[in-house]
Amino acid sequence: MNGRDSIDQLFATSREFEPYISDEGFTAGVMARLPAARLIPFWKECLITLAFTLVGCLVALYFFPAGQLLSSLPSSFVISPLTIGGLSALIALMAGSTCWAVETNRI
Amino acid sequence: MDIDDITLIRRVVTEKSHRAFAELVKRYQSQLRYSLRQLTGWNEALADDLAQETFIKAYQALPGFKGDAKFSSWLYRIAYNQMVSHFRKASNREVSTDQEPVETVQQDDHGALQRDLARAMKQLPEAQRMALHLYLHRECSHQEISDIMNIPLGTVKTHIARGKDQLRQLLAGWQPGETA
Repeated sequence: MNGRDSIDQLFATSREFEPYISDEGFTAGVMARLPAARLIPFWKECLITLAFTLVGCLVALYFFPAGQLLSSLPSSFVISPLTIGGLSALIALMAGSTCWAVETNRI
Repeated sequence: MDIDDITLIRRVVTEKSHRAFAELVKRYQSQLRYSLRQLTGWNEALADDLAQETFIKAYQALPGFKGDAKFSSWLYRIAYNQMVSHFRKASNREVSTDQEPVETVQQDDHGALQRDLARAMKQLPEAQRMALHLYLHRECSHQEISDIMNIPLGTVKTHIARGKDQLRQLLAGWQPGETA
């Protein structure tokens, strides 16, 4: 190899005859090592959950003997601070569990 | 019709679409694996390992991809860091990375040229090797190389000039099939 442009020429030849390296499972190998994918996008997941919740609520409303239940309820409630605290704790627990389940892909 | 890189990247980032990322891997695997073979003295196993690590790192870092550079340049930046990190770890462990490249079926003149060039390149320092490969083989501009390797423009030019001189000496009297 002599001459000032010999290296450029050598690389030009190498570039011209660069072989195509066939995949032969390379892509599959990479994909197997990626973190698990969501089957559907998160926003679609939320939309489907919301839609089914609404359908569930409507069905429940239709079949649930709401009038009968209301008539059997006492006419007045006494809500103590303990009841409020208990209800708040229950709601917080449910909200926390839902968040955790969503964040850790358990839903 | 082929979907452009930016659309695929957007799908990977927003929808975590594995299918879109697989398309990107398929699109760039040959180019990257070839480059890494050239940069590792045609050590196919090592080159493929580094390429795989590069794509996995790219997947994790994709939300940070701004799109102001070409996707291939960004990929090469990760690959270069992977390679430097590998050789640093290997030298710390005092494990030889100068294994004989695995011979494959392609043995024509051009195949020999690719391997001999890779073996000669292996004798250059990593930075010179990378700069030379990106400039002469991938035809990147000095500025692109500077961005990929995260070094000043002047250093890129020095690496290329010195690398060429050294390679010229290494390949003096070279014939296809005989390593310098």
